Amino acid sequence: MTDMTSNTPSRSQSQSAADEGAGREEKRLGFALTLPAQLLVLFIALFPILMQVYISLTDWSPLDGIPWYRAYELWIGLTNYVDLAGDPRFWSAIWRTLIVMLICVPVQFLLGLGLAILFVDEFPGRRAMYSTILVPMMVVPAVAGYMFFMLFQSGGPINGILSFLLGSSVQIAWLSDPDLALLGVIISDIWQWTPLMFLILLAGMLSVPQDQQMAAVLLGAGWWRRFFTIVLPRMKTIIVIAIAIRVIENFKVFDNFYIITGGGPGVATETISIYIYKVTQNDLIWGYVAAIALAILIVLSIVSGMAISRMRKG
Amino acid sequence: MASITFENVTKRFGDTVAVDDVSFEIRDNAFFCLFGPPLSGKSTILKLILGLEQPDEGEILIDGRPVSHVNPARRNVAMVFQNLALFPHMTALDNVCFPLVERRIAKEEIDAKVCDVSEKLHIGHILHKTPAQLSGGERQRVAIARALVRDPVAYLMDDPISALDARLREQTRVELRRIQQELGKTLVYVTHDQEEAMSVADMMAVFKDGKICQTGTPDTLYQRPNSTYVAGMLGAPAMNVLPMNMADMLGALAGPNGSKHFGVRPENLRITKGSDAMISEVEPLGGSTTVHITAGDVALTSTMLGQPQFEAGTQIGLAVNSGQTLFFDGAGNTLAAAQ
Repeated sequence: MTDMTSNTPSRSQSQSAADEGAGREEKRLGFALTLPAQLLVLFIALFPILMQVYISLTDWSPLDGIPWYRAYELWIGLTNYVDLAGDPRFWSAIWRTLIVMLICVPVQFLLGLGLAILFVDEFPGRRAMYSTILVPMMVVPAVAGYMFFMLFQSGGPINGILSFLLGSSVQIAWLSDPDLALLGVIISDIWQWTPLMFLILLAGMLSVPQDQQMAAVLLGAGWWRRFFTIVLPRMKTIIVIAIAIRVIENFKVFDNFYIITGGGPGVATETISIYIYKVTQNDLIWGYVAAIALAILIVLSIVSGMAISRMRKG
Repeated sequence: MASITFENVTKRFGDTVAVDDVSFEIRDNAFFCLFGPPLSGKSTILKLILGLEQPDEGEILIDGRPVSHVNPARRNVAMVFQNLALFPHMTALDNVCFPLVERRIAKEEIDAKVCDVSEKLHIGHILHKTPAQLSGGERQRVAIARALVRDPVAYLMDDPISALDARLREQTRVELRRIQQELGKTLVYVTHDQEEAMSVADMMAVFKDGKICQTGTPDTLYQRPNSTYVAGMLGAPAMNVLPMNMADMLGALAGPNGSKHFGVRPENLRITKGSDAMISEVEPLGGSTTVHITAGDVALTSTMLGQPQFEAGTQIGLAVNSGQTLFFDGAGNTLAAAQ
């Protein structure tokens, strides 16, 4: 035993040095062999972004008759960004998007959490109800948009039900009243995406070990204390993921909003995506659009970056 | 401090009878071991004591009082789970304090209690760590501390050291014994390891299919098992249970009327000169040696101290230490005390 231990170090040292040399060479060869593929992937990922940066620094438009790669002829530097900073329609679209997000995400979270609590324990009909609750999530957003468009018509079912309940004719102009239109699209978003929140939070809740909860019961903890000291802390990471997904998705929300109100009346429901769409399709100032898109990309990168660092800590 | 009594308790899960008309008493301050193979009803007994399950029939008494309608948190019985169920996102200190905070006890009192319990369990120096930073043995002690800190009348442990490696298990076994004696409280302990049961328990109950086969001190159960089942569950290697026609060959006394089998512990089976049997395998274990023997088509084992020189294939004779034989009837029940 003793002579073995005295022998091995010198041998293993030289061995490992040789291994290291071979390993380094192997690594270099491996890198060289995968380099073309890596460059391709990098190109695919980076090209659109770099092009966006490039275009955003010009006054290029597809109607000018200049190919995009010669857009430098229309170089205007940071003018687009300066314009953006002073564009009231951009800021009000951002503001509106934030309002939608600040209402939708907390409501979806609380509803999803409440539903998840109800579905954690077995009860008769649980499976059937579970599947039913997930249905809205699987509806194509454009279809959901048309559904709510019809529901909210002045002569539509929602006014009809309200009339029936109140006993007198209700004629609320849900989608043409600037104050109510935003509420309508928010309701459609909550209807469609609460199930996703529910699904993620339920999965998180079910992953909290049963015996820890049982231990807490035996140690005298009531339901509330168990929920707040055992269940919620164990769900931290999954909550961050769920909220990050919805924040990002809400920032990009488009289909159902566009179909229900088209951003109107006026600009009452114009979120940032709808604004970008309008600028692209109607005004065709692509340099400006690129600047807007880049600004949003930066904001969302910060949000997801914060979520990821929170997850690493958890 | 409390005694725990089961009176004709039956618990069913659907068609399965988990606990079948069981009656026994655990005396105050006893280290009581529930021992049996997996799914023999031991863990269900614990859940019944805790109140996590309700008996279908019969009554459970803690300290002479029926508890069937007392809610689990109020029974003041503590539990150490098989995997300990420590809360991983809290420090050891927060884990230990958990049962106290709920009861709105003054901070000074909490500190005093935690101090007291961490001294007993030697965990004062690790209280700031989280469970993930603790060794298996330390986690064990923190879990026990959490169970003890609110001064329960009895505490239950469901196979709490099966997850540890062999050496640590031995240490923890001794430790548990010490802790139980210092605290002087009723401890109900579930295990499927016979060596563990024998080494820690004052009293033990052997389970089979939801029924208790025999209750008694480990020594009684080892020396005077009431059936071939209990005899086989305790002791390693297991007792040799042999047909009566081999009694003459081994020089055992004739059993009482109705004897169908007789049992000899490996340590009471001696190897002599002769040619009745043959050594099939020798297993040296350091301090002792286990010899596997075949006699006709019957396999036997004999254990002896030291490392006697035997070789596989040797023809041998066999003898039994006098007075160390048990006799069983056709159903496997013991017929009379050892002769």
